[in-house]
Amino acid sequence: MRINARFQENFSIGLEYLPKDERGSLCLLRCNGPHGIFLGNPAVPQQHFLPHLHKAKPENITLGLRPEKGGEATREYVSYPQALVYFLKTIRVTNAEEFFPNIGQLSLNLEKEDQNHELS
Amino acid sequence: MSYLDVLKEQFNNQIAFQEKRPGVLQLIAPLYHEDGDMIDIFLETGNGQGGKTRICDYGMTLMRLSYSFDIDTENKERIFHRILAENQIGEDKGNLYVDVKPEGLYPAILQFAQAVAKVTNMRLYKREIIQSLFYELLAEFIEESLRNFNPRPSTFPIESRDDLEVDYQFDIKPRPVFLFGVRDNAKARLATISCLEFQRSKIPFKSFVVHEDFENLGRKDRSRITSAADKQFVSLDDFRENGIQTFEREAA
Repeated sequence: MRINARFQENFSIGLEYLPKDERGSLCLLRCNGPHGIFLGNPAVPQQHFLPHLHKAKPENITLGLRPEKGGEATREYVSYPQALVYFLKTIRVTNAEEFFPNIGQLSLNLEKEDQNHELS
Repeated sequence: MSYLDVLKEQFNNQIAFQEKRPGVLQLIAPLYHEDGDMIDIFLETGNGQGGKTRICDYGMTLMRLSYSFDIDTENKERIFHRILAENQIGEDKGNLYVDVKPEGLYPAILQFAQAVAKVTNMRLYKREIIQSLFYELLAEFIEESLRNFNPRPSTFPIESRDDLEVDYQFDIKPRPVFLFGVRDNAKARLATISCLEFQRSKIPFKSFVVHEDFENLGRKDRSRITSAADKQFVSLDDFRENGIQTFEREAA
């Protein structure tokens, strides 16, 4: 989990897999903030500044590319706290409260925020 | 024409600028990391000394590198600073930067991007990745220093068993030497099984094992392979130091 000291919107939360029988590691999932442009779907060569996800893809591994090559824009989060909630849910951390004591509260607040946003 | 317009022209109009903060522009240029993210390059017009423009990354390069690699040893620090020095890049609390006169922006940006790519690729120096060179280094030593003992790579002493492979067979008298390179527990087990099967088949041979790091094996794997093998070298350095002498004694 990283947040850039100067630009709070430049954050990153990732899950690395460390195989026992192979060298190195591979990124299974990474949630990025809108830090810059990224290459995603080849049909849409240039995405703009949007929060985006990098997911390990079998086709990348087969081709010897970085497993997480190619981002996909997401509306699941716009800030680091939201990204953290999304990330923990996505990777199915069942005891997140033990490590992130306020994560449940954060989630509730976010739901309220979303509702307020929709109302406004 | 402003220097940014000149820069755009130099890049054949393939770049753009996005205001990140007042006085800070993010460069949108077709320069990408391997994962498809654009290299983070910022231009600060007010921060360079003597009317210079600062090209910098606000720590994004080290942040990215830290996903899978930490610069946490003297050696890594040395390599990191060498990359920066050779590319004439400065560093201030993780922020990589170079100050240039506006007319020098084009080559400086390309140089900066190259330095960022090199720093990002420091992840390739990870021990786990470097370790995979063990077999190459072992092969190199055998081919260079043990050529006189007739090494043959990848042999199968039992014709019907293609699962029992010897990394190097040395055809010396009175008995051939079967050598196994062992980097991890899995390979240690395979070498142990192979030795036992060859013994069971009454093949005359002597078994040598070269470990990458004997102490790194599990306790049970250490005792099993010690029981099965005739001679072990606890590390590649040990083999380099004593291997030739051992072979000379075998062939005497």
